[in-house]
Amino acid sequence: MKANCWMGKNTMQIREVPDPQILNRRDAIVKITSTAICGSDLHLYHGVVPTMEKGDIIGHEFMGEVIEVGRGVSNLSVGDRVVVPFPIACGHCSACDAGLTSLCENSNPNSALAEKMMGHSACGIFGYGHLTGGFAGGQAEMTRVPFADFGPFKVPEGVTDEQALFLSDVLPTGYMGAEQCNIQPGQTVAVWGCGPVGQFAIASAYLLGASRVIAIDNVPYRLRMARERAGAITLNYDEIQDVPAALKELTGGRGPDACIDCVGMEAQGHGPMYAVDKMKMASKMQTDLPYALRQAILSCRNGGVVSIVGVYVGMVDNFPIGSIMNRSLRIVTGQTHVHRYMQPLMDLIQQGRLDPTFIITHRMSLQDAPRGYELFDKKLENCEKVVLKVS
Amino acid sequence: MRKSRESHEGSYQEFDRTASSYENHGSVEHDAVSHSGRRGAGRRANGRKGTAMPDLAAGRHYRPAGLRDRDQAVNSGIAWFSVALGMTQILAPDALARLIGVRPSSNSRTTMRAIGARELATGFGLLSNAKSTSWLWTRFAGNVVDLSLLGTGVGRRADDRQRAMRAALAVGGVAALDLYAASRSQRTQRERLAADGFASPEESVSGPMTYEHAAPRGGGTEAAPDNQQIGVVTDDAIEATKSGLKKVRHAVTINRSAQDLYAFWRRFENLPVFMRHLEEVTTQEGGRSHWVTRGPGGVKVEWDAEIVADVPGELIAWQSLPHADVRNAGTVRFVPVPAGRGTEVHVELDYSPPAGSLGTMVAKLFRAEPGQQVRDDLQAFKSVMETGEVLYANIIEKQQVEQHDTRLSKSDAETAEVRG
Repeated sequence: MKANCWMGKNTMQIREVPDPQILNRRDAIVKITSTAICGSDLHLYHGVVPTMEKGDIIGHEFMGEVIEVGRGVSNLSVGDRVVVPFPIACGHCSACDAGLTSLCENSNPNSALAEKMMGHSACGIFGYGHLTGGFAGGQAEMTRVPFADFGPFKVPEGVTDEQALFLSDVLPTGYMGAEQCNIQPGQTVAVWGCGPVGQFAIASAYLLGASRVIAIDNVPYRLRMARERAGAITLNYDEIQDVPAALKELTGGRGPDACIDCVGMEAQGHGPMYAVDKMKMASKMQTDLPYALRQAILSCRNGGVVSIVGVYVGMVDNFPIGSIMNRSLRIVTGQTHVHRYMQPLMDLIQQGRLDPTFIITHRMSLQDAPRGYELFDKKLENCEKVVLKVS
Repeated sequence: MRKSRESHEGSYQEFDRTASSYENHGSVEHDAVSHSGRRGAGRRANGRKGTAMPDLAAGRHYRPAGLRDRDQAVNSGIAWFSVALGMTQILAPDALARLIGVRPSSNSRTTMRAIGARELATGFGLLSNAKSTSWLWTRFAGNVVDLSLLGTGVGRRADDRQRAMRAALAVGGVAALDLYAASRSQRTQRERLAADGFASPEESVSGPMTYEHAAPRGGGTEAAPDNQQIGVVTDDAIEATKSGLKKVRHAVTINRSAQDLYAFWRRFENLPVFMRHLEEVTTQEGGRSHWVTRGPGGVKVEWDAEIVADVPGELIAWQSLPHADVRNAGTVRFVPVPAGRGTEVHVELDYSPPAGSLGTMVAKLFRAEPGQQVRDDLQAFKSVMETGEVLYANIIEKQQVEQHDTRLSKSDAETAEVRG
């Protein structure tokens, strides 16, 4: 079969690879119909996520048709149309019991390595390096789905691929970013980053009762989408360099009640602090750029919530812990527990209260995936989200 | 080789003593209830220092054994002195050279900066708090080098000689302090090992392995030093002495009842399902079992073992019979977590690899980090019990495991029963 493989920094290549096989009793093989490039795939693309190996098949947002099931899978049949959550979860450990599926204790075969780097391991993830298990991803014609009796979500009749696809990651991720802020009616929420997750975080914050959502980015077409499609008030940090001051002004001196970081480890910014961060990252003295996160913390109102759903992988310097402690901020974060959001979000989609397709700007074939990465990475052709059609 | 009934009983008694000390480490005196309940009830806690298991009752102090505080203060002073001296040597080599009676030259500058770099490195090493004993010895050795360098670099003037003499005295003083700190730190380490129940490097373990080796060694009561730390070694600790006895501990929490976990483990035939270095375990009459592992190059290592303690739903302990290729003993305890939050599984393994090539092979079998092997095995045990199988990342990993463990298909069938 054909698959999109990571071949080194900034290099993706469609390659002929062996077809996936059932390896465990609870596996299924899914023939991919639609898959997407995620903003977090760009971290892989840039080579800043550790433990990537040449030839790794990328992709963790995918859906398709079940073509084979293992002996231990009784709830799926060949021909079922499913969308697959990006965290691999067993459904039986105490984390899964608690609905924290991205913390599954049995799905990361490289948990020992992850423990060394992070203290404890989180779940396995499709196509996201070897620290999260080294599983083959879904930017391919087929993929193996472990614990298929627990993860895949059957797509109801009448729901299109494009409506369902984002349930695999970006929609629940944006939703969780807002949901974990415990937004109260009338509150103001600020969202850093107007990529797909940011757009969904804005939309979700409104769904959850926020009266105002302020979005921060520096890409004009993304800010326009946030204004026109998601309904945000937008700030361009190229124009307003002191974002916390601007947010203070917009909120009568108080600061936003909740601040959501949808940017993550490769944040961009301005000023000497940003230059220092860039140098540290280049010389491997830190693994992540906490520029947006620092702003989110410093902007948040006293006693407010800072929600982090942008991906971070390692260590950062100059973390404003004093601001967090002295001002009673709450930090809520995590890889998305996708499984628990799929049904409620599908309900919203079917009721017509949420249309996740507005973020799609590019539809391409799997064969064109390397071009898709380039467009998405360099923000060419107003690229917001690339959906790859397979077969 | 059959053990007599008496010696079998003996190991039960040995174990009970160990079990009660698990529960009663520290100095609190109260009636100990042994795990088995068969004997040892009403036995007084002996108050020995040190424990073999990392679970502590409320109100106890958990402290991984380390340096004493006052030694740490001395070491910290030496560390910052190193950093300050090193910085001065690197930034102002000429001024410092003149101070100690050495004529500044490009040569002296290079030497001074090199010594400065060494000082910075040792200072940093000491501050990092890792293996401070060896850093202290490094410092002491450095002082000796410095003294000889000083001897060769002194200028001819009387004034220079006077300065050099003062410098030599200062270096000598620092060397004495380093020597004191280094030897003291080494002694503390030895005391800690002894308190934890390990033979000191001079003392070798000989004779057949019994539970005594897993249990804290005696002497803690009388020789208890002034510090009150309990010699608990951190979870996943690996301890080894020069006698070759290796000790590995690890714990994992599993979302199943203690009874289920005990039942699966107690059927030793199941062990190869999650202990991937094991090829086969067969059980015989009377708690005996035969263990076969296949290591690198297909070399088989085998031994017979006997069960020395067996408390349904709570604990299993086994040890190899005399003349085993690898003397070893193991305990697994199943401790329910309050409020139905699963069961803690604590494993303790002691083994003593033989000398020579077989020993090297065994070392490979247990991998460079024996603790890692036990950790991986316990993670696999958790996966088997919670999900019915161990998840493979990819086909290559599966093939490697299948190549290694030909029993996989059989294991697969057995695990299918586990989950129902």
